[in-house]
Order: sequence, then C-alpha cells, then structure tokens
Amino acid sequence: MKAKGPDTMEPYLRVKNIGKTFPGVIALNDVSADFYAGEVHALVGENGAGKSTLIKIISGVYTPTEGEVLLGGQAAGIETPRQALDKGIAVIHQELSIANDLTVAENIFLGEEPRIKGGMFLDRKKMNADAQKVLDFMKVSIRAGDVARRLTAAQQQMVEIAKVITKETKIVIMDEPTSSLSEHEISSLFEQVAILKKRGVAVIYITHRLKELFMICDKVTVMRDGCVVNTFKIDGVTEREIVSNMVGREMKDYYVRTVHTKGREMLRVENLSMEGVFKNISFAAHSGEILGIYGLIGAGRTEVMESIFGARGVTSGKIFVEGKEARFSSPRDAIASSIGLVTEDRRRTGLMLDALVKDNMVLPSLVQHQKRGGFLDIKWETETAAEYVEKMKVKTPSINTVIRTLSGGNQQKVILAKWMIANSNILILDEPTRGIDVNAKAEFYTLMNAFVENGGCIMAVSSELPEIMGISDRILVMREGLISGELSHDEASEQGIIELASLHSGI
Amino acid sequence: MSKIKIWLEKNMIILFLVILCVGFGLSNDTFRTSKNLFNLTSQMAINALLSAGLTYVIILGGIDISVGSVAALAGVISCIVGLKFPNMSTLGGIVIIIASAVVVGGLCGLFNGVVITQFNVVPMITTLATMTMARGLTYIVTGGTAVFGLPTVFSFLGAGRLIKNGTSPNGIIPVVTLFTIAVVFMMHVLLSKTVFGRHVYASGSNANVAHLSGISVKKVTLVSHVLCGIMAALGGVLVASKLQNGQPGACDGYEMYAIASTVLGGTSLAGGSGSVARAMFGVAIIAVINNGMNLLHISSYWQKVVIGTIILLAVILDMAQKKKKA
Repeated sequence: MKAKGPDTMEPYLRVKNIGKTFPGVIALNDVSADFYAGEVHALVGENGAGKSTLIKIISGVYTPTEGEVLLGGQAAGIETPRQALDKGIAVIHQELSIANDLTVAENIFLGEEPRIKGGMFLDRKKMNADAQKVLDFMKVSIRAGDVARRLTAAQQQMVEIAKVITKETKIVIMDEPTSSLSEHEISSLFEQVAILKKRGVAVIYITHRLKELFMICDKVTVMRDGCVVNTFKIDGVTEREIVSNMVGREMKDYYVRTVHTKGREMLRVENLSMEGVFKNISFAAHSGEILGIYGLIGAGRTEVMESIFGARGVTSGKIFVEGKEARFSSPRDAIASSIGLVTEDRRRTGLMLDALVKDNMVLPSLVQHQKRGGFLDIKWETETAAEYVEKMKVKTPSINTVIRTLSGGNQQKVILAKWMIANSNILILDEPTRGIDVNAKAEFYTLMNAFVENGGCIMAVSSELPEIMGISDRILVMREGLISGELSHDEASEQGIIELASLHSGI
Repeated sequence: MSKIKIWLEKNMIILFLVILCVGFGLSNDTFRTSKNLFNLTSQMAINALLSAGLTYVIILGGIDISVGSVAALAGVISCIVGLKFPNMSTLGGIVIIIASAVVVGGLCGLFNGVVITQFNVVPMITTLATMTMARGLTYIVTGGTAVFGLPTVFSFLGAGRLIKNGTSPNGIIPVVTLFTIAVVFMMHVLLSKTVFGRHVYASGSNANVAHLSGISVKKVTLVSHVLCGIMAALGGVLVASKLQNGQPGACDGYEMYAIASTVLGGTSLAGGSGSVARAMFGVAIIAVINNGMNLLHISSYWQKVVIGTIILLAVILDMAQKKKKA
C-alpha cells in the first residue's frame, strides 16, 4: 500500500443505494460501492449478477431507477455516455472500439485532434508526436503511424489504454479485458494497469478469472442477483471465499424436474477440437436424458454446440449419431440426422421475426413434406401448425400472426415446435429460457421433460446456475475451451460447479 | 371502418392505380380506348419480365442493376443466332431465339450469383460490374451497329396479335402480352406456391435462421440470380422483336424502371417480403403514367422527373410504415 493509503481519502466515485428495474426484472437492488483513485477494484459475479448493469449506469448508458452516483463527493449528473466521457469516465469494452482503418495516432486522438493554431487544419505532426510519446511512456512497441487493423487484439487494447492516458481519464472501467489475450499479453496488460494506478486513476475491473484478482486488484466486490454481497480487501480473502460469496442463491421451486430413465446413446463426440476455441471435447448424450452444459461466457459452450450442428467447422474430432459416425458440413446434414438447434439469440438466429407463426414452425420441414413438383403442402402446414400451437399451448391469436408480436416465452415455444415438427430426437438448447418470464420458463421445462420422456435427448447450455442444476440429469462444465468436469445431478452443488467453471488449474 | 383502413393501407398501390386510370381516362379520350389499353399491356411487357425476376433478388435483400444491359446483350445475341436460321418455321424460330436468350441471361445471372455467394461481393457492386461488362459485350458482338434483317419469327413475337375479328382483322391481343402473362404467372407460382419460393422468403427474411433450418442460402441466391438474368434476357428478346432489329444501346436504364416497379409493388428493399403479382401493379403504374403523359403531350424529360418523384414517395412511405411497425 502506498504512503498515502486510499482509505484515508474520500472515495472518488461512489454509487449509493442504486436500484435499476427493467419491465418485469429487478436488475440492481440497493447497490452501494466506493471506488478510490489509484486503486484497482474488481467486480465479480455470475453471469446476470448485475455487473454490466452497474457499469452501464456509471458510464451513462442507463439512468438508475433509484439511488445516486457521486463523483468527488458531488452528484455526478451523468445521463449520457458523452457526459460520462467528459467527466473522465472511460470504458474499455470486451469488443474494442477501434476504427480499423485509421492510424494508431488518429485513434488515440479521435474526436480531440490537435489543430494548427486551433484552426480547422489537422496538426498531424503534433498528433503523431504526442501519440508516440504516450506509447513510449507505456513501453509498448507500437508505432503511432501504424494502421490499427494491422495490430493484434492485445496491441489494440494498448491503444485503448493510450487513449485513456492522453485524455486524463479519472475512472477506467475494463470489461473482461483479458478474455481474448494470451498469457504473455495479459502480463503486459497488467503492467499498463499498474501505470494507470500510479497515475491515480480509479480502475474498475470486471473479470471471470478469479486468479487475476490476486495479481492486480486491491479490492473485490462480489455481486449476486443484482445485489452487492460483500466487498473485500484482496489481502484478506481467498479464492474459495469469493466463490462461496458468488453462490448461495436459494433454489427456486419452479424447476419442474421429473426422474428420467436414461436410454441408449444418441450422440457421442470424440476429441472435437477447433483451434483457438475449444479442444478435445468428448462426451456422450443419451435418450431420456437432459445433459446440462455450464460454463462462463467465452468458455466455448455455444461454439461446441454449433460445431455439432454443422454450423461451424472443426479442426479435428469425430461425431457419432446413434453409434454411426456422422460428418456434418452444414446444418442441413445435422437436421437430416434428426438434430435440432435452438440458438441463444432468438431474435438474430432463431426467428424470422416478420414472418408468421406458421411459417416459422414449418421452415425446416418444408422439403420433407413437399408435394410433387416442389409445391408447398399448404393443408399439411396449416394443420400441423394448428396442432402444435394447441399441443404446446402457444398463446397466439392465430397461426397467421406475425411472430414478432408474441411474447418471448411463446416465441421460444414456436422454435421448440419447429424442431419437433422436423422430427428431431436430439435437441440442442442454447440458453433456452433467456429473457422469458418465470411462468413461461416453468412451461418450457415441462415441454422439455415431455420430450425427453418420449425418448428424446436434450443438451441444454445455460449460464444460469439454478437452471442448469434444476433441469439437468448430468452436467458438463466447460472452462476456456476444455471440459473441466462432469457432475451427476446429485453430486452437483453451486460451489462445485463454479469452481470447475472459474478456478484456474489444480482442481 | 378499420377493416377498410387496413385494406387501404395494404393496397394503397391499387387505389393509386385506379385513381391514375380514372384521371387519365377523364382527361384524355384516347386513353380509354381498347386499342390504347392493349398497347399499354404490350408496353408493360418488358418491364413486367424484368420486375418479376428482380422481385426474387430484392426479396433476398439483394439487387440486380445489370438487368437492362443483360437484356440488351441477350437481345442482340438472339438476333445474331436468329440470322443463322433464316428459313426456320415460326415455332422452331421461337424455340431457338428464346433458348439462346435463356442461355445468355442464365449465364449472366449465374455469374452474378457466383460472385455474390462465393466471393461475398455486395450485390450492388457485383451487378454494377456486370452491367458495364454486358453493355460492353453488346457493342463488341454487334460491332457497334444494329443487327438487321431478322427472320419473320421476330415480328410475330414482337408485333403479332391473336384472336382476329371483324373490327380488328389483324387480331386483338398482342402476342407479347400473352407471352408475358404466361411467364410472369409461372414466376408468381414458383415464388408463392413452391418450397423453393418459401426458401427465397426465408433467406431474405433472416439468412441465419434459414441456414440453421437446413436451407442452402447460397443455392437459393444463385438460382434467384439465374432466374433474374433469364427474365432480363426474355425482356431483351421482346425489345428486339418489337424494334425488328438488335440495338446495342437498347434497354438503357430499364433496371431503374424495374427496381421502381418492384418497390412500388411493395417489395421491401430490406428483403423478406414482396410478391411478383404486386410488382405488376407497380409495373402498371409506371406504364400508365408514361402512356398518359405521352397522350397529354408531356415531354419525356418531365416524365422522368415525375417517375423519380413517385419512386421516392413510395420508398418514403415504405419506411414510414416499417417504423410504425417497429
């Protein structure tokens, strides 16, 4: 700790009793935290704990429903991202905001370019010299005149930090900055964080990698379900204590779990690898089974599932469907092998939003049910769509309603119906209940259970711990592209799962 | 009340067409003669073919601005091929010239489709290049001058009329009109009644979803561009038949009329919705405006200004309705 310990000073940024509600959801509830100049303060918590909502409030993207944000002891009055920037608050996002075709110097001074005598002409000489000065100060080997596109992801991040340094930023929020960096790049990033710290910047550091906390952070605030659970000084806490603060949520009673009878093997994956994304993934899934797949964002869950479905290439490995080796070069092949995929992003990859309920339901099955000469079987379409709307209790005025107007839960039921109509018996569900309300979730789980009891096989990816524990017969946990463990329903605990998902090696 | 309102909102285009016809009909005696109305249908024919093909491509979220040049290229090549068979029967002649046009148009469309799907070049740029190349080729194969001395089959296709009676010894209904109705009808059925057609809508509506539902979006795109090229080529044959010669400069700017008709007919430039039948209303509107203004002796320069304005209004209206929905 420095001579003038931060604790003796006023916090530079203070969030007090912040609450944020979205229609139907409480995202933040009575959140308070203090951030000091010259301190690296980590925010940790499960996906959905409220970290990103909090930083969006601090950076002016959202306005809080309750509570206040204080800057240097006074009400901050931040209502837009621009105002936050003007007050010296910068966010370095996971996806970098670099203009690829501009030079490093142009990126660093974007929006604040030096002008010749304050006139309208760009002072390129000064801009390049100043940028180079900052880069040299940071001891990074980037040239101010280089085009940003040629830099590696890590170097681009350095440019973002250079931006922060030139702008005399007071607060830097780093949102999972290491998620796309190699070990070596991470250590050079940490050097820069140390420089920021020395300059008296308050750093808010969001990460899923708990080990990093002990390398660069001074404090850690643990969040869960929109609340702050605890704030620790890093010296006085262990990794396990942090994990146990992250969990401990009550199991909700809406997980309708029935006991299934595990049947024959439906799908087996052997050593599936995709360079740089996931490696040596091997597992089997059976009829009469819901196999849960848990992992933090970026662990590679979605990518593995998309590869099994033929939507993504693999560098090596084998897939077996009902014992026979299968090669899927496109989703069409996977669908022909009776596999269905419910994607995590309903709006982008799940639905034709402006098309009818009926058209969405029958899309993958049209070819199978076409009449001679490639004509549509309208009668079959109408009857089938009506049958499934009824069977799955989809709340829609008619099968000819535009699907955009339905609620999320009903949209999701339509997507499930789509694969049932296509006779899928292996279903991949990626975040199946994201963004749908509690009742709809319960109904959806019931449908999943019915599917499995009829001999189907479900692989469900979820970021919600209670959900994965509530619905799965078996849980695979992924971490950084590898399967880090497998747990049966009975041996799974929140603590155990989180440890597998977030702790570094040695478990 | 509200039902009428909904109908009107959906079918504003039809109402507009009716108003136009009534307006021109009242202000000009010639407009409402049956002779003029049949003329009108034959004037519509070329644009109808081009628009029918474009509808597929625009529903996919793409565009094809090469249709005018492709029409010209196919037109002159079918003339050149026709010249090689001076003594062919009418039916045989029709088969030969249409087959040659289909090959030329199909190849141009295939070229567009391959570049777009295999090299991910945006359709606007791809077809801009094809537009320029096809026009260049048209001048190369003709040596820059018109192709003359065509066999009689051309005049049958371009100027022939069927169903003769006492008052019209040369026949009433233009062959062009019948030919176009038949082709456009097939294009309409293909799009609205077949699995392929549904795949076109799905790919334009959300390519990700279509792909993940087992549809080969690339194949759908490729086939649509081939169809669009073939339609353009058939249009080009009709133009050559009407003119009775193959002009290398023919069909200049026709792509704009075709795009305008398609959009006027309610096909969204964002993709996912539209119909061949509705595009025909757009075709009719543009033809009626041209025809009516001709009869009123309004200069063709002003006609361009008027049509441009109407296109703009149609797109603005389309955007406004989308905004309301979102």
